[in-house]
Amino acid sequence: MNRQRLTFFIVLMTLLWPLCAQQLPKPMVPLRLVNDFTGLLSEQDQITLSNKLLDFNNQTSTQIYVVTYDDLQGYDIDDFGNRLGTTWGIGQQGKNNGLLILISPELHKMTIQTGYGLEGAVPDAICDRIIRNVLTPSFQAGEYYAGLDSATNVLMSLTRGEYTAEDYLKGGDDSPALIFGLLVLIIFIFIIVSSSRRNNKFYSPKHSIPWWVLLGSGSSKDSGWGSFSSGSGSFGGSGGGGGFGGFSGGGGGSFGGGGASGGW
Amino acid sequence: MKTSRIILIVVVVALVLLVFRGCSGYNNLVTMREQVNRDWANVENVYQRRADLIPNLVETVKGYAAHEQETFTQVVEARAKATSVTIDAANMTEADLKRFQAAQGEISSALSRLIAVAESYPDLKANQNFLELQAQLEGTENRIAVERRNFNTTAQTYNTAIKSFPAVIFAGWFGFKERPYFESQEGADVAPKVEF
Repeated sequence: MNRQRLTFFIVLMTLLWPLCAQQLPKPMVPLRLVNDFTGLLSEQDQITLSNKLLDFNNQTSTQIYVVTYDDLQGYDIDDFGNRLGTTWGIGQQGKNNGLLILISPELHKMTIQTGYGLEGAVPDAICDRIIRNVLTPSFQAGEYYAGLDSATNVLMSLTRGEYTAEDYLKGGDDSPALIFGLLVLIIFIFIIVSSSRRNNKFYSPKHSIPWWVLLGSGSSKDSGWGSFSSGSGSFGGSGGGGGFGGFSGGGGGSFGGGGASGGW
Repeated sequence: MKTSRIILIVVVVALVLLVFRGCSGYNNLVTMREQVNRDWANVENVYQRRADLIPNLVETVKGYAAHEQETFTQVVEARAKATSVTIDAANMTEADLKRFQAAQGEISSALSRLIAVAESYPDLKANQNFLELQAQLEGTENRIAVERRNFNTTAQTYNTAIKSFPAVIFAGWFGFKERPYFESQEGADVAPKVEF
């Protein structure tokens, strides 16, 4: 009886295995630029690095992701990184200005994948040089944060001139939605406070709900309120104490296989 | 009188709908065909990129391993042969693609022999220029794998579209032909090789 059940379970698992194997990891929530699935960095380092990259994203719209993940499902790390970058949509759609640093601590392998739009600014040879001269020595010394910090600094200085955030802010609907949502919230609080202070009739929800709901639903689903609440800790930006900054995730960029890989 | 009029209206409406459907179906097919052509151009670009790397790579290796003449000639010959095989994207057949793949496959194997030769020269292996060329070559091979995969995906969507129902009737009249796929021969498409 028990054995039958076990066999059934095993058969079921083997049947389902191919389905599981094709699954790429989902981005961590709240959305952030450092997705440390393996706990390679301390919490504080993750937050510092992520917020540095978020600042850069807000300035230039170029997205640099750092991901650590061990289950490469049999793919080469560069192939896995390419699929992950395209699936997560790292970088902005149309510009394809995403960069992905993927590290597998267990396999001692890493790769830097460049989006189509950054292949000129960050050629493969440069990626290779960053891996050999910056990442490998620090990883060998166990200084993961220091290595990633300086590698991302190099990548930021290489890509800074490529894209500006101006047209991104104009074109993208994420940030305006965020500001709009914030404005609505302020007005809402103001109305409540003033109405209660005047000791008038309380602000009647009959009137407030329609426009409130309407405006609220106007902001896009995954950026508006979600990232607003998650970002509350670090709206100051440079403070860096609170947590992961409000980030609306990949912008739909895609990857063409550019970049370099290495091991340590 | 009245019934016949209703029938007439229904028939006219049905005809108009059918024509509209046909037009939008045709437009969709045109868009898809353009996508396949664009993806084929991308495939050719990345293969060209690899071919462009070869002279530099051969020169660098030559500087350290001058007497491996045979390997150099093989690479250069394979490159010359492959660049002479061109495909007209609009009338691509399975045989064309096979020829193209075979020619590119020869470059791949000649290049891997070249890299294997280089492995036995420690000075060359430490040469900055060689290391960077090798990184570029690896990146290009990855790009080739990606573009082949993209091409196969769009070609499959297009092939399915021209063979499914309303389109299958008129696809032939307007010259929408089926496109061949890349076979996973070089191991570029078959990913999982498990390493421990």
